[in-house]
Amino acid sequence: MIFKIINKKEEKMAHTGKRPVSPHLQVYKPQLTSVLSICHRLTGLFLAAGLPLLSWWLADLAFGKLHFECALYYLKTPLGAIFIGGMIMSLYYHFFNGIRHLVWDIGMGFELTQVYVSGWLVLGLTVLAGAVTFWHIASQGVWIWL
Amino acid sequence: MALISMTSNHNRPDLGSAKSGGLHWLKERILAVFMVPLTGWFICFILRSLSEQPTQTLTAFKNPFHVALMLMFISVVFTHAYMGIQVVIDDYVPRDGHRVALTVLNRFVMFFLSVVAIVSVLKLAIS
Repeated sequence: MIFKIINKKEEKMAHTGKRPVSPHLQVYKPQLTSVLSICHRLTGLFLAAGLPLLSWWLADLAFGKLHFECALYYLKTPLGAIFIGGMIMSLYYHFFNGIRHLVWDIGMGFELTQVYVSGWLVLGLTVLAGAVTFWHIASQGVWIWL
Repeated sequence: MALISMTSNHNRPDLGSAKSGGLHWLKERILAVFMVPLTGWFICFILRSLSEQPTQTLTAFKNPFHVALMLMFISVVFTHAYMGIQVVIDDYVPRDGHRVALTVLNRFVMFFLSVVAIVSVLKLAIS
């Protein structure tokens, strides 16, 4: 009897579209592991939002608009600089954390201490690579910001 | 019912594996592995392109090595992106109608952007 009621309720939920959504981030206390995990998703989405810029840049080159004029107008604004800076940091974070995920996929590094060590390692490498890149951009005189 | 599903899941017409999940998982991982060296090359290529004159970038696209890597990067990165976005859509969009609409939109936009990028690279390489 009880099972029938539960089944009916579930059936109703399925039909009204009110199925449970995962994961319920707000009920957990933030930890390094969970924060890094959601950051992987967020940076992935953010990087995907930057992909139109890649197509745009290549199309501009193909059209002979060598200096990326249209997009540059927006990229030179403060918001554009924040966008590019965020893109660089997101790329490095997603890159290093992605390797961390691939290492997990071959069954390595699952011990709690290892997870924390690799997590901090990813953050350290991201900051280091980001710093080197920004230093490179500042010293090379990148034309996009000239 | 429960007993049947525990003993022979693969024979059930109504439940059980659609026999495509493993391949999907493997495709995600293979693309991710491809992304590692391709992203390394891409970062170097972009930083060099942005710090030199654009005409030098045009000559870089005459190099078959760079053209091949850029075409590989484009095809892998857009596939990786749409698969990743798809996972987020499946996780967070419970309504069937919205989910289907977003799925189609995701695929269409990523397909369009990748074709634009590929055609542009080919034009730069050949012209």
